Amino acid sequence: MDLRGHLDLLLLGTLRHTGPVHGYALIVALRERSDGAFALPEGTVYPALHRLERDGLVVSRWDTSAPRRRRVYALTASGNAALVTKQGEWWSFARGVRAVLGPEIAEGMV
Amino acid sequence: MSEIDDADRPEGGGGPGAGGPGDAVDRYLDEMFDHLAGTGAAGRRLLAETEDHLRTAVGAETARGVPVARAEREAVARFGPPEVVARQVRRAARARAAGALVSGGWLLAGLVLLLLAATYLAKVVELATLLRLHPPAAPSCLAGGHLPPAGAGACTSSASDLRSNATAGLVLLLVGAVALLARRLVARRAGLGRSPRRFPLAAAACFGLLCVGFALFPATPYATGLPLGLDRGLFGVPMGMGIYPHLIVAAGSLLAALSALTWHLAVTRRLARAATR
Repeated sequence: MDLRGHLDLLLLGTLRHTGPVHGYALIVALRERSDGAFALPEGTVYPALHRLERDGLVVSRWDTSAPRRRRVYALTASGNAALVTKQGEWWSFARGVRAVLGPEIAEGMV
Repeated sequence: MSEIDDADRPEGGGGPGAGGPGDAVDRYLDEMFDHLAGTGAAGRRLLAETEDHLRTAVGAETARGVPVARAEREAVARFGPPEVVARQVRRAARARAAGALVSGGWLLAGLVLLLLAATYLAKVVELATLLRLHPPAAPSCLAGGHLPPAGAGACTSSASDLRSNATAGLVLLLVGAVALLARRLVARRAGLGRSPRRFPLAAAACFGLLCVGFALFPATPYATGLPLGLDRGLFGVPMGMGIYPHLIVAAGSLLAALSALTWHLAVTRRLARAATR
């Protein structure tokens, strides 16, 4: 499934669910929560996380307690606010799609 | 930003000819390393994260009984082609560099405008002081801050000079302040990149040179005609402020240089903290 335009929302939403987590665990959580629907090339998640960090929506730090040092990501207050905004936009979009496609399709969406 | 180089190549890199367990991941990391050349810290970070990701993925699969070679092939396949992943980092690095250039240029332009405003306003202070010392009724020629020998004829340009310098100084001050404020707003709202990391140090050096230049100018042969304000007291001849505007600008430049140096130290400290987090 093409996630362009939705990846930020999905990453922020997954981060809110998981709490502070490293990249691999975040990707696994995204895959499991989507029931395998969002099996995107995993490597593309890291540049997206870096961009979210530059935008101040997530923060990260090196966790050196593991055998290999790994980067742990967490949602910021701005990230939480952005998530709420993006969720609102998504629901507006979904409502519009349902209205256009008709109630019989909408049944299948729910 | 230091570039990614061979010292950053992950340990245990496979290379051609390797064929045992661990090779798929090592080969992938080698390829990724090659594609990340020129991306600096962002590339190093992605390489470290990629290695951790792949080895964790392989560890999770082998713990479930999947053979190592297969677990590696699948982990690498799921991660995506290295050139595709690296392209995103390269694109972001280019965008960041362009943003930093725009941000630094904008900041520089704003600071230059403020500096120009400061020189005009220093001139205003000088002219205002001279006007006070020599009321318009008295013969004096204040244009340029130089006074003629006594009785050298009337000069009426000082008041209009003061007004034009004050206008120019205030306009430059306003434009410079608006430029810096606008830069800050754009940086917040549109995500304009930060200024280049060495900008504070470069600014400190520029202001330092400016400070030395203004402070030493009155002592150079080019300043032979420059009236020393103290001469008025020494020789009883009305000479005006003389070196004072230069010293004021030198002091302002020194203050700016120290501020830029503090800024540089704060940036260095922030980066050091971020690196150890």
